[in-house]
Amino acid sequence: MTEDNQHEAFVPEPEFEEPSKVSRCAAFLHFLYNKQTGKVMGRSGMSWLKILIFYTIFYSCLAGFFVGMLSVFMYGVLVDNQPHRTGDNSLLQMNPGLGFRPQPDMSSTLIEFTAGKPGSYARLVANIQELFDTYKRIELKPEQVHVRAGCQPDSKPDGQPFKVCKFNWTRELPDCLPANDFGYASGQPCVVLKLNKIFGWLPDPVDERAPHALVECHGENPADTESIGDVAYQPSVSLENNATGEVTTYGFFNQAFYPYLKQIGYRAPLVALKFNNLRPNTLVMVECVLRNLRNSQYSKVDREAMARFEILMKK
Amino acid sequence: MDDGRDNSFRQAVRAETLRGEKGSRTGRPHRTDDLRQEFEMDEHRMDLAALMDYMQSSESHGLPQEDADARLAQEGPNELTPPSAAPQWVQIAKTVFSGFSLLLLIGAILCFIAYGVEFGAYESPPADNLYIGIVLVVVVAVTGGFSYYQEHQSAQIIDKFKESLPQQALVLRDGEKRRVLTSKLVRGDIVEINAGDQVPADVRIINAQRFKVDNSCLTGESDPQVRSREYTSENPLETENLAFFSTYAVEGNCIGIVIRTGDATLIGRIANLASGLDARQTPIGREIERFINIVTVIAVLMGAAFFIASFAMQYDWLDSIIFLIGIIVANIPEGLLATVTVCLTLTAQRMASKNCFVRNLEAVETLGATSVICSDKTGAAPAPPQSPDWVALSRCAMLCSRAEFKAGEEEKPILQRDCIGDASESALLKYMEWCVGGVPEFRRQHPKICEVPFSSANKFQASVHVMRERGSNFLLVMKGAPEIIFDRCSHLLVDGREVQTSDQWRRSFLAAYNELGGQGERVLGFCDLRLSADEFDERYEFNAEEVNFPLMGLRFLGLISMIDPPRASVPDAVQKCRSAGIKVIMVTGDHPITAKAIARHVDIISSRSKTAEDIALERGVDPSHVDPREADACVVHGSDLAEMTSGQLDELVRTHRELVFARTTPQQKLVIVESCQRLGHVVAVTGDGVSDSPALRQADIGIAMGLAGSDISKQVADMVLADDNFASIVTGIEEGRILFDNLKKSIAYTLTSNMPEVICFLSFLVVSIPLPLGTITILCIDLGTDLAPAVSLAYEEAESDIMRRDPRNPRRDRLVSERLLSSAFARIGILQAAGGFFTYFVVLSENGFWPRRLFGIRRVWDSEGIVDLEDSYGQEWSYYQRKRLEYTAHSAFFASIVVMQWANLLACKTRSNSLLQQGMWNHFLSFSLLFETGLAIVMVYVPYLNQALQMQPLRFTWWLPAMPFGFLILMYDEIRKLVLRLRPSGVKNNWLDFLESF
Repeated sequence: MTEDNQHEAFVPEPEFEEPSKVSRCAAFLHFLYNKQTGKVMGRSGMSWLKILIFYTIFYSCLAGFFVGMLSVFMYGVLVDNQPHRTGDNSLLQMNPGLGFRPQPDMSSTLIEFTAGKPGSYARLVANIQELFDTYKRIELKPEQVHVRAGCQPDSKPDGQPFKVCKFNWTRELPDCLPANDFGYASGQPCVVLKLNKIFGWLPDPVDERAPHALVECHGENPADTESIGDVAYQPSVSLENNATGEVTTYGFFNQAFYPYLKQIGYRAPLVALKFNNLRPNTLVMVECVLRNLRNSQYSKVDREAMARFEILMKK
Repeated sequence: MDDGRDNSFRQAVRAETLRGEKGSRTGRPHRTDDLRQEFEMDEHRMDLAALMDYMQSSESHGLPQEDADARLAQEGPNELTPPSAAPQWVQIAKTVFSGFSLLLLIGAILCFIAYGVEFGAYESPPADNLYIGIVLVVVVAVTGGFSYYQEHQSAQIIDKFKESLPQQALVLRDGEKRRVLTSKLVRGDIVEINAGDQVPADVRIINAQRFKVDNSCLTGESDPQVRSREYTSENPLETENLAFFSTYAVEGNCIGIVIRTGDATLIGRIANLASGLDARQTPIGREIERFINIVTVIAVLMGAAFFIASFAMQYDWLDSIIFLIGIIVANIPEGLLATVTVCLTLTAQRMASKNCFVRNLEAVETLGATSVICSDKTGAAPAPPQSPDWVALSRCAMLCSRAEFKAGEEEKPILQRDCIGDASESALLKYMEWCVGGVPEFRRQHPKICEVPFSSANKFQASVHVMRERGSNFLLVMKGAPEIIFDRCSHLLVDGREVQTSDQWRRSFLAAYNELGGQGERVLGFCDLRLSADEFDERYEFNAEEVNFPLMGLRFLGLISMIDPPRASVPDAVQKCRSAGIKVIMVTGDHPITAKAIARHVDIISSRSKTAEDIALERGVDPSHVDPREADACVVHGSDLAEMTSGQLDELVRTHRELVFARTTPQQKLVIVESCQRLGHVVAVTGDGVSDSPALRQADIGIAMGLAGSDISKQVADMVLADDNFASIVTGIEEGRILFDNLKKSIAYTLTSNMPEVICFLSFLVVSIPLPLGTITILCIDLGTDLAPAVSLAYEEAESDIMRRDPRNPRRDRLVSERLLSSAFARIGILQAAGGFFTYFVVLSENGFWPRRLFGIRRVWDSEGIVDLEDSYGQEWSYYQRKRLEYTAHSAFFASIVVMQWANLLACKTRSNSLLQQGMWNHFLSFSLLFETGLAIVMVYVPYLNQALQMQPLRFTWWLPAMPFGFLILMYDEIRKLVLRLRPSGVKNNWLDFLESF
């Protein structure tokens, strides 16, 4: 440090030493645009332009890097025909959820209608119709779909898992068709249950007599059980309890349809729930639970392996 | 200095009007009025017997103990109330209801409202909002409690310091003498005060033996004042029969009656005045407030803008509130205030180990921002004078000196022994003991018969001692102001012969006197006279009142000069200040010539610079003909200062690099400080006397001396130097500057991670992807993983030029500058966001949701009713499966920020050096990297804890995607620093300066 520098240190800068007498607002405007120097916010236009160019280049390079990294990952690591993480590696954890239709409003699980009054259930019917149409569409273009031959509930795997079974709605769910407004017109409403597709998932049945994922629905509370009346499943299977001899009827998701391997034209099997004599003007809380599966963890809190909805039929 | 007493208050009035011109702050104009009220005390005027009666006390018995107890209970202890003692709950409330805390509280309230609405609307409402609200309240409580605790801790540093000095007084109660704590004294107590004692209260003197007090802490003048039982003046400060609390008895002893105690004392009034001056906000306090304002404005504006936008986009108002909360939480660096507090505490501890104790933590940084130091004599200590070794002179000096060694210190080296007596008497004694020895014994052999004490009127002191030699029984010795002494002499002792005084001798005497005086030395003349046995036989009755012995026609012996030498480290420290761009202004009560000499000696006036007088001398013209602007140094006399307007003073301070104010009153010190502050300087003031306390308060940082300082000066000071060493201030300045640099690094580090946090919420809102980073996870970053590295930056070593830079310009060099913000937000923050989103897309894609599937999915994704949402592979996800995936994505985003904060920490470590140059020697920083990572692992993987934090365990590979981006951050920053280092130096307005760190 030379003597000269030491002295410079004491040379006061005018800006520092002279308290500004201009008002703060004026000073700010002066900062925004300084007429004398032509500086905008303390910088000359050229300086701003250079900074602008810097940022353009900076962000372009960053965007390029980001897109490049993402492309490498998307095209280099991921494949189209199966998820990167499947089975237990997937966060789905091989635990399919149970969905249902109609559900026209995603924030609500209430199915509310007045029997015989089309305006009250038009949305419900349309919602099921939407699902129905996706099953119908497949039938229109059969040539793209490799259909498997043996798709009976008792048929064994034929070693050609990439072929799909064809789900014939009309045959499997004969009481729940657009023709009868899925039963909503007559006061015997259908609710269609669907098991969530999970890549590679196969049912691991407990009871080999019916090697399917079974579903069983009941009222959530004793009062609901009374109001729910007779519930019919389509397709259904009846099993006799070996110990008690009691016979219970379940809906079943045909095991021949599994596994889901992202086959073209795959349509998951469905189960229709038909309320034959639902007590009118009563809100019934219905709970449907998957049964007969070793590889499904039921959790009422997390609503896993179950579906829950409310149905209210007015008359 | 005999005129100093009246002048000090006269100039206080003058100073007042001077300040009045520019509009003074509230409360200030009352000061002189208050002081006038002090003049109206009348205890000194009352008849002593009447006063005794009034106080219900008696000279022989003192107060009965019970009465004393009763009075103590009634009037309170004899202590000064420390200034500014806000109740604790107010302090706590202040921290909670200000700045970020307030914003977070608002966020919490919004959460509770949202939860309340959901609670009313749904049968089983999601507890998320309740949970976040509770977490926010806890955060506010913890940070509030933390900063309160820190403040409390630092206050204890000073409290401990004060407690170590308990004071006792000798009191007559129930007819017996007792030692009691000064704080237990009450009005009416009869106290005995001996030389060296601090006067324990305001006392009316009943009886005094050669009693003198040092009122310098009250009036600023250092000459001892005689005190007796006589009522000599209307003015309480002038009259001889009053001694004031916290002044010192330097000679003799007295018995007095306590007339006022505690805050009612004169000093208590002044102390209250001092505390009445509004405490100014510290620069770092201003900076932090400004920073909080910036962040608050950004958070509120952004929150409001997107709140409105979300309405416009027809989001549910509940959702909009959740966006709002998210944006607020993401924008606020919650952990930053704690980080700042810890950084300040660490520095305070480091400074305490170097003998600087700080009262408030912010003072540490203020010291770093200091651009002017107003100092007195920079730590003087008496040391032996130099003089020719003449037997007669030494004999005279031994007998003349009135100082005595304190008993019980015979073992100590002479120069370290304590003396009773004023500074020059002590110096004389020590010198004589040092070069001749046996002073006490010599004095015993030649006892003092009679003494004419020193007074400001006669300016000499004479005494008669027994000394049998050459037909004489007595020796008269005299010392005093040289010119006075010389005038009283008819002979001189030259080489052992006595010579008649002549004009020639007189000239050489004056030359010697001026030479010594000009070196900043205090000069005393000595003379003696053998009193002939004929006239003065052994039984002669000497009478000091009537002076029945000669005081003229004496024999001149010589001069002894004394200097208060500054410590050896001072010139070096001053030099350091200068190269650090700090102006050191000397403000002293000394004579201008002395002051200038000391200033030259300690380099306050450097060898190169010249005063107007020097220039005049060089050119051989009258000083008034020299343009004062040509001079870079200036010595200003107090009386000239009193004539100046504030504008003239500002001009003076502005135009001179090196300034010395001599013969100033304490009030003028305040004026000088205010002038510097008007010029935008951050002013540090050192002081020890009570009279300094207004200046100490007014200063941006008041520095009290731990050893020499009075209680009151320590009470108002922001910093106490335990070793009274000026050089410690420089150390403190360096620490303060390091702190400011490191705080910037800390803030840059902490703010960076806010950018990805904010972008997460924005993208959630604007492009409707599932939320990439949850509110709780944001808090995990801000209050968890970011804390240790941010604090570790406080340990970062100084970059080499720290004491060669100019002081921070408080108006321009902000703690949080637009450069820091643009670097943290617009560049590194964006890089981090890119890395975070890359990780997010990787995790979601690996599980089946490709990026293009995610855009616009938010509403379906977040509705609990949808239990079969299809991904890109046709798999269907239930709500809870999706949430598990989302929380996994949050964890991955969190992990990626942790990874990229490693790189950011290394980038923030240096301002312009390459990481390779700086190295990794900050072990706290290296440790904090490990700690941060360990904490993140605990948060992600420990069962239940991760559930509480809404996290999910991550696959190892999900820690990796952010690494290329971390590397990118490091590369970018190294290139940036390289460009800045290679940039042509000296180009101030280079457009690249926007790339500077801060």
